[in-house]
Formats: sequence, structure tokens, C-alpha cells
Amino acid sequence: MPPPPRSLPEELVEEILLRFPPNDPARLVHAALVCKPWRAIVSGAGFRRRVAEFVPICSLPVSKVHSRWRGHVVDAHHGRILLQIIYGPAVLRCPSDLVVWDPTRGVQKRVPFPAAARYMPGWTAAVLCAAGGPCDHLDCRRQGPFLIVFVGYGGDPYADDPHSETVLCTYSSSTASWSKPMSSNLLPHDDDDDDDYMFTHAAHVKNALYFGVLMTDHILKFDLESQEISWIQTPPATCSSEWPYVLTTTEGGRLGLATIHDFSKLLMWSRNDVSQVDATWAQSTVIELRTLLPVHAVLAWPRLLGFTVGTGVIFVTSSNDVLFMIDLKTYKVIKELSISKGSNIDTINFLT
Amino acid sequence: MASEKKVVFLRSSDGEAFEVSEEVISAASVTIKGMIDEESPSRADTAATTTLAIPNVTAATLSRVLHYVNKHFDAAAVVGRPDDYIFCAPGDEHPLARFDDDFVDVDNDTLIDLVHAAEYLHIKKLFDLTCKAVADKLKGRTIDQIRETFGIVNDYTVEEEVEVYRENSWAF
Repeated sequence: MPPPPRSLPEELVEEILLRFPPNDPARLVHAALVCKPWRAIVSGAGFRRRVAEFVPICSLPVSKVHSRWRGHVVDAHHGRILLQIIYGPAVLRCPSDLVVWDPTRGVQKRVPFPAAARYMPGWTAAVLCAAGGPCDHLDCRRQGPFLIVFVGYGGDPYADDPHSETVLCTYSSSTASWSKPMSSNLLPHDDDDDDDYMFTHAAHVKNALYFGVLMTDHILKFDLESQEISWIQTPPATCSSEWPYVLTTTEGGRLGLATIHDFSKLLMWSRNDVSQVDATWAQSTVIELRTLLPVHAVLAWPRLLGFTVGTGVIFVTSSNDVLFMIDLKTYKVIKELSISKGSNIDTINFLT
Repeated sequence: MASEKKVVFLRSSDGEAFEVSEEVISAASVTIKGMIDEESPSRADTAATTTLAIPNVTAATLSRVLHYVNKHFDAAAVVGRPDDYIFCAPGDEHPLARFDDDFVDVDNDTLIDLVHAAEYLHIKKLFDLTCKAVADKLKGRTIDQIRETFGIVNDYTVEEEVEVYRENSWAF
């Protein structure tokens, strides 16, 4: 009989798991399933703290992000995750707060929902490191200041002159307050309609944040330096109402946009922004999903769900509740899973 | 009289003695440096060389460790930057990167022995290198294969296993 393999004491297991590649959080989940002691290591607070010392920005597979509250994940940048926490049934539009969460240390900071946005059905927000300049975001989430940029569309129905507009405001953790809201009337207003404009997740490119307005060909650009709002157009003939899209960042550090056409073609664009005036979209890739995904998924209205900045993975889901993760570096499906349970969507948002 | 290069002998758990420069091993191993410092007063100017017992490390492992130590910590042999190259970007290669790759290209048991030795001897660079190598080895292995590699018994009940899978289904 061969001798038993060398055993690993727990403290060494921790040292080894800490050195797993940071861009592949699934591997830590696999490790957690090896045995209970390993799971205890991976889910321990000490481990999460130490992971932060080893990796620049990590996405840890913490399944119970917010077990005590109901809510959902709004955004994730620079190692921080922005959650919306709702105190009551969603249909009643109960009051809610935003929470900035540091997953590696489990630290949460509550931020009041912006007053200007109380009656806004359509909104999104982004959380960023506010240190600016040379920050490498290795450690800034520990104590560093953060910035939340909130974008919404709507108006106060109880105002003397109720009208809807796009509103943007920023929250600074240094002053613990929201800025005076800025507004823009660019989005067309239609009295007969409910005007529930929906925004895409934010893309952070150079010193600007981009928020796509679904069902329109407008993308809001917020210049973080000048604090100004401007609008850019989506690529021509790309984003009609039928084809939702996601904003991405390209490997060259540009703004990108991905959408699915004709239920089967994944179109990738990148924005050449040498100068603001001459900025144009260039179609970079067309991927035939029929060659990537199984027939049932192509037949079931595949649509885009999200994009991860650090790992360059795009999420495609089909109406029969299957989710595919496609690695944009290799154009291969790296994961296929069923999302019939609502809870998983949060996890996915968390990873985006 | 110019002092001769001092050496110490390290005796492995199975009784084999290895000669190493005192200066080099002190720079590499916090543990052995501590042992040498403790011995110092009694050694004084005697010509006798010191032999230190390393009861936790076998000859096979100790000879590998010393091979590494002589490559990395002998000031005369080392060129380039110290310490933090393990996490350098590809292409940004440390001169010893190739040596390190070959050094950890060994079977599991040998590698685990090296991790233990690096920990016991407190050689941080070697510890980082070998832990990283174990982590890399686990890449692409199934959960069952990982258990097999380390002789771990699965202590999840079927129900518990299903529950963890369900909670983390995105990862599979």
C-alpha cells in the first residue's frame, strides 16, 4: 500500500488559498467544498482581510452579502460594492438606503438615499475611490474616501410644476453629504408615457463615468474632473429598443459597448475618443453566438446581463434561465449555469 | 588575520549533515539565525564548527532547501532585485525566475515537504514560492482530486453539500 499523502495543517491551507489567482473567485468556492475546515478558512474574517493584502481588487464569493436586509447590488468599482437596502416590500417603494460594502473586510458604510431621487423609478449609481491621482486601489477601500455618483430620471409629483428630467448628484464620504443635484432635459419627455427610463451599469473610463439610457440612443457622460454632464450617442443602428446593451471597458482602456443583434450576434464596439469632437464608435468584433452557445439558448432570446471590469467576462442570459459567462479574451464560454433562482442574480450583479 | 568564511553544519532529521555558509543561511532563515545567535557566546573564538540539529526536515528536503538558499541568498551569486518578484508581471522576470520554476516543478509530497521546511526554517521567500506553487498545482483539479491530493476526508453530508452547491451555484 502506498504511504498516505502529506497532510496540510490548517495554517498552511490558508497560506495556499491566499495565493489563488484573484481573478478566479470560483476556485475559492471549490476549495470551500473540499471539507468543512477549508470552508471555515475561506469564509473567516481573517482570511478575507488577508486576501486584501494579496490582491489588488478582488471579488470574493460571499454568498450571503446582505442576509439581514433585502436589497440588491447596484455597482462595484475599486474594491467596493454599492448595495441598495430596502426596508419593506419593494412594491410599496419603501424607503431605502445605499450601503458601500468592503467585501474583504466586511465593513459597511450606510449612505442615505439622495433626497432628489425619492420619486425616481429609474436610477443607477456608481461607487469609486475618491483618492484620485496616483491611487492604485490596492488598499484604499480600507479607509480611503469614496465617491458615489447617482443618476436618475423622474420628477417630484407633488411639486407645483411636476416635470421629469435627468438628475445627477454625487456623494462624498469626506463631507458625508450629497451635492446639489445637476439636471439635464435632454431625454425626451412624453406625458402619455410613464417615462421609466432605465440606466445601464456604469462604465468608468479614464476620468469619466458613462451611464447608458436603455431604449434610447443616449449615453450620459459625467466628467469627474470638471463635474459636467454631457451626452454621447450610442453606435449607429445598434441600440434600438429591442436590443439592450451593456457598457464595457476595452483592454486598451476605452469605452466599449456590447449588444446582441438578431438573437444570435454579439456585437462589440469600442469608442475612439482621441478628441471629444472626433470621437467615433468602431465595431471591433462580431461573435456568432450560434457557434458559442447551445441551440436552446440561441432560440430563447439571449440578452446581455453584465460585464466584469477586472476579468473581461460578459454575461449572457436566455429566457429559459440559463446564464453563460463568455471570456472576451478567448471568446469561449467559461461557465454555463441555471439561474432559475432569483438569489443568483444578485451574485452575478455583485460580480459585475 | 582575515577571518575565514564561517560555516555551520545542519543535521537533518535522518542524521545527514550539510555544510552551509553561516552568513548565507543567517540571511535566509530567521530560525537558524536565531539558533546561531544563541550559540554564539559559547563558540567564542574556538575553531570548532557548529552543528545545528534540524529535527523537522529530512536530508532530501534539506538539500533542496540549501540549494535554493545558496542560489538566492549568497550575495556573491545573486544579481538583481530581492524579495518581491513573485508577484511581478510576466516579462518582468527576475533572473532567478527560471530557477524558481524548475525548483518547484516536483511531485506533490516533495513540494509539501518544502512548504513545511520553509515554514519551520522561516524562509519567507521560499515559503511564498512553494505556497504559490501548491496553489498553482490545484488549478484545474476537481474537488475530489484536491481531496485525494492531500488525503482529506469529505466531511460534508450529502444535504450539506447540496446546500453549499446551491448557495454558490454561480461558481460551477
